[in-house]
Formats: sequence, C-alpha cells, structure tokens
Amino acid sequence: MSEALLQVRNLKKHFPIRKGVMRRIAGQVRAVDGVSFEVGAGETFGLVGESGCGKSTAGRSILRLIEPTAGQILFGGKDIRKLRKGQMRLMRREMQIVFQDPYASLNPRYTVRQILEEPMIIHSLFGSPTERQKRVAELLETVGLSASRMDRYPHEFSGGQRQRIGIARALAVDPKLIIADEPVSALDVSVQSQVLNLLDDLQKQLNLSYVFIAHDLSVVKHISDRIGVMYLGQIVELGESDQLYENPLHPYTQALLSAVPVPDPEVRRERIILQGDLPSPANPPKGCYFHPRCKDCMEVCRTQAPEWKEVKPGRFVGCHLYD
Amino acid sequence: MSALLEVSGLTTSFLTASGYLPAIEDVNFAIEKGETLGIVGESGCGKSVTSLSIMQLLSSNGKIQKGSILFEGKQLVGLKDTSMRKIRGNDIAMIFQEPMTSLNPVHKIGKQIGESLRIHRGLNKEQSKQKAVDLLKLVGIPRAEDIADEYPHRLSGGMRQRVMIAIAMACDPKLLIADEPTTALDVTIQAQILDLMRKLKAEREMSIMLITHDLGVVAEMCDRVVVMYAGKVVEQGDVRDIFRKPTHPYTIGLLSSIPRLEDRQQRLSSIPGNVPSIEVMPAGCRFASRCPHATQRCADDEPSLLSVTDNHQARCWLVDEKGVAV
Amino acid sequence: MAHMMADSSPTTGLKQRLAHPPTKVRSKFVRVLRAYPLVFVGGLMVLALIFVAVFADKLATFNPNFQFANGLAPDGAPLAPNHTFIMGTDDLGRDVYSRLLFGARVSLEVGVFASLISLFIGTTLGIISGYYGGFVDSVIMRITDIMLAFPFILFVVALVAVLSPSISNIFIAIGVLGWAVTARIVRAEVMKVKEFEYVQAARALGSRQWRILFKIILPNIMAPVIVLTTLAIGNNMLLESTLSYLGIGVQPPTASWGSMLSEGQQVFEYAPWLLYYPGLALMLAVLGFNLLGDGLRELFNPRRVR
Repeated sequence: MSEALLQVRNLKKHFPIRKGVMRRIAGQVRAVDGVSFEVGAGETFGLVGESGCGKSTAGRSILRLIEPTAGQILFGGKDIRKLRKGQMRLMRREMQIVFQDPYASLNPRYTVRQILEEPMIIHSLFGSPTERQKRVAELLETVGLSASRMDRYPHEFSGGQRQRIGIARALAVDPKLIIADEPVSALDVSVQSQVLNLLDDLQKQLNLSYVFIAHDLSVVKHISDRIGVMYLGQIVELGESDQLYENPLHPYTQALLSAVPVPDPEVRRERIILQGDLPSPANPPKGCYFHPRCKDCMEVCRTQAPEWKEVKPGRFVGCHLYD
Repeated sequence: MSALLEVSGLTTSFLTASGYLPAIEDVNFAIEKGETLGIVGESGCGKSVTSLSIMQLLSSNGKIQKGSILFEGKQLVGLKDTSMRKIRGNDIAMIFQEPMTSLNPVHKIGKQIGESLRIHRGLNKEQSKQKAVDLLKLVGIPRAEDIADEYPHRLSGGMRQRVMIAIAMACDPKLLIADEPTTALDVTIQAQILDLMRKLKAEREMSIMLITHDLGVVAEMCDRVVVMYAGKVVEQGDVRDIFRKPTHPYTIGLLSSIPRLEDRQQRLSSIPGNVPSIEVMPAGCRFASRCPHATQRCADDEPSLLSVTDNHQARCWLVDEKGVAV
Repeated sequence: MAHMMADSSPTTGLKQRLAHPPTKVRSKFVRVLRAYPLVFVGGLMVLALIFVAVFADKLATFNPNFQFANGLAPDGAPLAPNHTFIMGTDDLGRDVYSRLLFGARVSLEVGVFASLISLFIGTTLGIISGYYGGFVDSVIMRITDIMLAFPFILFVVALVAVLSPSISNIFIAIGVLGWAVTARIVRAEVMKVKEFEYVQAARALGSRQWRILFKIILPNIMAPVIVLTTLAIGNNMLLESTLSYLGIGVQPPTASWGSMLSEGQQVFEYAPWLLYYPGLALMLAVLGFNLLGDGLRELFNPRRVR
C-alpha cells in the first residue's frame, strides 16, 4: 500500500466518571483504549465489534466530533489533532460521516434541498442559488433519488431513501474519506443491499475511502478490504477481510464468527458460545481484556496484556497464543 | 392431529387518516405441537401485528376485522378479556424485542417472575419466590438466589432477555411467541439466547412462534417458515424448501440480498423500490411493482396461495404458469 | 382526491389500482379540529381577547375614567346594569363595561410582554446552559434553583416597589423574574436535541457554533417553548391582577381587572357586579390561554395527531 490517506495511531478516548457534589473524577471509562490502523485511498476499512466495544466512539474521535484523549490522527500526513478551530473546519470538507439512524440524522425541520445546501453554504461553495440547486439535483441523482422530490421533508421518505439523503449530504463537500457508522443496521435486508451497493458504486466512481463501522460481520466482510475486530476499546485482530474470515486467529474473532447464524438450514457451523457478558470498560480485567471469557485462556493471559504484533504481513493480532 | 394454533383468514385493521385500513389481510397458518414456526418479513409486513392479534394485545386503534384464531380448538377472536387473561402468560407466553423496556424497573426480578405464578397458579409469596429462583436457574442465570433480589437495571441486555424467558416459562406455556427476541442483542449473546430457546423447547415440548427479520436465525431455529410481505402471507413451507427452493420472487430476492460470510460476492443483488405503505396498497399482487417477472395479470389480479408441493405454497401466478398443481 | 393509483413500478412500469381506495382523506385541519376541539375554543377565546384589547376605544361606550354624575344612585351607590351602563357603574360612577375593555388591554399587554421577556432570557440562558454544559451550566442552573426557591410573588412585589408601579415596570418585573421555568425546559430540550445525529452531522460538516445553535437546535426546541409561553401569558395576566389587587400594580385611575376587583370588593355587598364582570373576564382569558397551550402541546406531539 502506498502512503495511507488516514493513519490512526494509538487513539484513546477516556471518559471521566464524575461523582458527588464536587464532580470529582472517580474513574475513567476507557471507551477507546489504544487503537491503530491505516486506510488507503479508495480502500474500505471495516471496524467490527459488539455494542460497547468503542467502535462508534473511535469513529467520532477520528473526526474530532468527540475530542480524543490521546493518540495521533494523520490525514494526508497531517495530524488533525494539532489543527486549530478554523483549520479543522476546512479539514471537515475532506472527511465526512454517515450515521446509523436515518430518522435522527436528518433535521426534521429542513427540506431535503435545505439539508443538502447546508454544507455548501457553510463552506461557501457554489455561490448562486441556481448553481446550488443544480448541485442538489446532481447529488440526489448520484444517490439514486429523483431530484423532483428535493422540496419534501425527511419524514416523507422511507428509511432507505433517508439513508441515501444522508449519504448525499456527506458527498456534498466532495470528501476523500467517509466514516460510515452502522449505515445499514437500521434498514431492512432488501434495502440494506441497495445501500451497500450504492456505497460500493460511489467508492469506485469517486475513489472514496471508507471507515465502515458495524456490528454485523457479514455486512462488514462484504464491503471491507481490511477489517479490525474491536473488543473493549481495543483492536484485537486486524487483517484482510477474506483471510480474517477464513482463518481467524484471536479466540474472540473465532467466537464472533461462529456465532453468526448461517442463512442455510442444512449448514451447521460449530459454535463457540462465549460465557458471560462484556466487562465494564470502566473496570477492564487485568492482563488480556478478553481472558475471563476466553476458551484458550492461559496463566500469562491473567496478568500480562498481550503485545500487538504482525504475525504475517498485513496481519496483526493481540493474543498470547501467538507469542 | 389438529394443530395447536390455527389462524385462518385473519384480518386486522388500524384506524388511519383515511379510515380503518388492514395491516394484515387473510393470514392463514398453523402451528403444530412441538414445532417452531418462523414468521419472516421486513418492517411493515405485519408480522408483529399477527402476534399481537393472537395475544389480543392490539393498541386501541387496531381491531381484528375478520378471521379466526383457534388455540387447542378454542376460538380466541372475540373472547372476553377475563378469559383471554387466563390464556395469556399461562398457555401462551410472549417475549419481546426490547429486554430493556419489557421489565418493570421498580420491582425486583424474583417478584416479576413470580407474578404470573401467583395469578395463574395461586402460589403464595414463599412458593412463588422459590419457583422464581428455579426458573432463573433454568434459563442459565448464575447466582440465581441473589439475582432474584436485584432490580432489572443491574442486569445486562442478554441477562434481561433470559429473565424475560424465565417469566414466559413460569407457567409452562404450550406456545411461546417470540417477537424478534434477539434483535437488540449482540451476536455472541444472540447465540446464547437461541441456544437456550432450543434447549427449553426440547425439554418442555413447547411450540414456538418465532418472529424475525433475520433469515440466519430462521434457518437455525425453525421447522417451518411463513414469509410475509405487505400484510399478506406470500410463501410458506418447510424451512428446507424455503431456503432450497424459494418460489415467490420476494423470498428469492430476500435470500439473495443478504451478504454471506462464506461467499465472495462482488455485488449484492437487491430488490428495487420500497414496500408499499398501507394507504397506497396496490390491488393485484402487492409485490408486482418490485418484481422482475411481473405481468399485467399480476398488476390486475391478486394470486391466492398456490401449492408448489404438498406443504409448500406461494402467492404467485408463476406457480400457476409453471403448471404446478393448484 | 389523493392518488387513486399506487406508484408505478420502477422496473416494469406496471400501473396498479389501489386495494383500498381512500374513502375520505380529511385535511389535517379537520383532523386536528376533530381530535382537539378545545384548541379551537381556546384559540377563539384568545382571539376575542386580542380583538377586545386592540379595539377597546372603538368598542367602549364611554370614557373609562369619566365619573358620571348620573352614574350613581341618589344615595351615592353604584348603578346596577341598565340600558345606559350595560354592566353597571362603579362606586365613582364610571362605566364598568368600558373599564373592562380598557382593562383587557392592560392585562394582555402585561401578559404578553412579561412572557416575551421571560422567553428571551429563559431561552438564552437555557441554550447556553444546555449546549455548553460543565461549569457554565452549573452556575446558571444554581441561579435558576434560587429563582424557583423564592416566593415569586414577593420577589415581584419587591421589585415593582423599587421600580415604582407602572404598566411597563410591572411587565419588566414579572418578565425579568419569571424566566426560570423556561430556562430549565429549554436546557432539557437542548440537551436532548444536541445529541441527535443531525446536530452531529452539522458539526461534522464544519458548521460554526452560532449556526448550530440558532439555525439547527433552536427551531427544533421551539414547540415546547411556545406551549410554555402560551401558558405563561395566562399566568402573567393573573399575576398582574394580583399586583393591581394588592395596590402595587396599575395606578388609578387606569383600569385593570385586578384594580377593578380590588375596588369592587369594598362595595361587594350591595354591588356584586363589580366583582362578577372583571372576575369572569379574567377567568375566561386565563382559561383561553390554558386551553390553547394544552392543545398546542398535543398538536406538537408528533405521536398524537393521526
């Protein structure tokens, strides 16, 4: 891979837990606890994990919608954490976000035209109203919606159509990178595949890079070139998506993959059923965060955190089994 | 053998701006003893309305307009609320999608489980408490005695769903209606819950009506499947038939639009368009506007459920044209 | 008629009839009217009040402050309602009907302006508090707590006394002291709305903060604020009457419902109409605003109107 478009290095986001009248800090929720990955131009990087693993927080920290606690975020080689307010505002044209909830992500009081014009107004693109209208029509067509409906309100559209509007809004500023935070999880299967195909087409047309965040392994595997599996604020395994699926190394990845129900009544996958629940990120276990639920837990796992290492070219895992 | 539950011609309507409009129309299916029936479909297809109709738990703007629901030969439609209450939670139990809101936050877990035992079985406080602990053990909750004395907010989503199942199992129901029981849960927790449901079903010879949008869950859990689209049953049959020989173009489209872990698909096939809304439901076949095979006949006349084989039916004119027995 | 045809197919272009042709599609206005008839009753009452207040000088039959020589009985007692004075006269021989109309003006003026001042202060503080959070929020909310902990009426009485009683000082006092509830509600709404993803999207697009606050958050929190303000107008009218009744409101000879009640009370035993009319007017006005406010609350609740 040539120079990566986005490099995330040791990203951390700790939320303080405040207690009492004086709001004194009583602890830290380690929502994101040292996450590193790269995304190349035109590439899709999938971030997968169960609820509470910190994948969404990671996504929003990369855009500085949530201010990260530590780490570097290099976009085109520039550390965006060092950017001042005004510079950051300009940088936002380069990196955009698509949200999960097609209901909450569009302002109910704006028409589709207003929603799509907003980014142009903010960044003073396309000065005249006619030019803006032309651009809005263009954007709607790009995402497969009829331009004739631009003066309607979001509630007049179906979930899938709203998600298309959300994508059009992200495209309005011509970004290079889109963080897609569970963009299809709220949609029905038949509509989900429409949106996934659209994202695919747009990537090819516009050479977009995606960070695709989702909990559905099949979806992530379908769309991603490479995947990072998150557990309790950390990436536990990272690799090319086909390899990761065919030969999962980390016991958590193995359990996760085996838990996905197969849509075929005649195929029975051998299932690793994980015991217990996700520990609290405010009080993670000692040693390897996964050890209390791990089927291959060893003595060393209880005391020592595993190192993050490249076991094969492009394949990373944080597990003592591969020491 | 007569079926445990037999639904026929069920039509349930809701009051809208343009009067009562049917959310489900002419729904027919049966559940045998010890069987798991899957009801599959996307949002708005009427699968939840079907289950609420059976339980007679429709909101005040909804009503059953036509049809019958026979449970062990007994007609549930039009049954008095007092009689229905004896069936609900006793013979037929239900679990819902959202384990966060289906438990009452101000009562202890043990008390909530014991409640239906006190109502339906007349147990006293001590007995119901003991039974509650047994039930918690049954659904695999560790430290059952302690958990019975906790409030729901102390439990995780997966644990709450286990508690919901414990409540449902309290009176040994003959039928468990599970409405998207694992949709709000993570895959690893979903695997635990599905496992538990399978185990309980086998132990107690219970029937399950599993409502879900997830074809993977259906494939894994169900014996037979009913596919619903826009308020109608469009296909039903044995789970193998549905997955191996799907006949209705909607079922075919649905099956081919799921991304599969084991394949390397370049592009997903998808169903164009959207589900028609209840106000502008087309006459004729409801899927016609999205169907690659639609003809004028489909637009004008609605097919009835046509037999593909003995226990496999599809609501599609293609079945007719292929010359398969009607 | 709405569409008698379903949308035609994107793939095949087939046109289909509808399975259930709409029987009657009622307009939203009619549906709302049927579901919440009291909104319209309240609305009409409020409109009537505004009409009366605006055209008081046209509707009045006499100068409200003129003491008619023939407005008193020979023994000096007020006159009961009759052909000349349709609501009777007060103990100074003034026409009650005309005073009532001009009193509506005072009541409405105080109610509306006081509420607008509260609305402005409360919304500003609420937005700052809810959006920025942290230390600023704590400070503003503690001040709000203090405002709510004091007996409001004593506060207002004290402030009016300092400012000297006049119509504008009354509504300034009520408005400046009455923002606490608005601030709390606005804060809660802002805290809810700012977490919505469309606000996050605006931040991600690089919107400046003022744009997010005033063009995105503000329009989305206005519904409960409008309801609250409507209810507040009624309350503030009541408050004005209380102040006037206590003698620190509108100063004589200006008519206000409160001062009319206060004056009428002294001769209540033999001239009860002096209490009936202003009392009734006050009750209807406040009721009107309350019905309207409650109705609006229902209307703005997206789940309630079908």
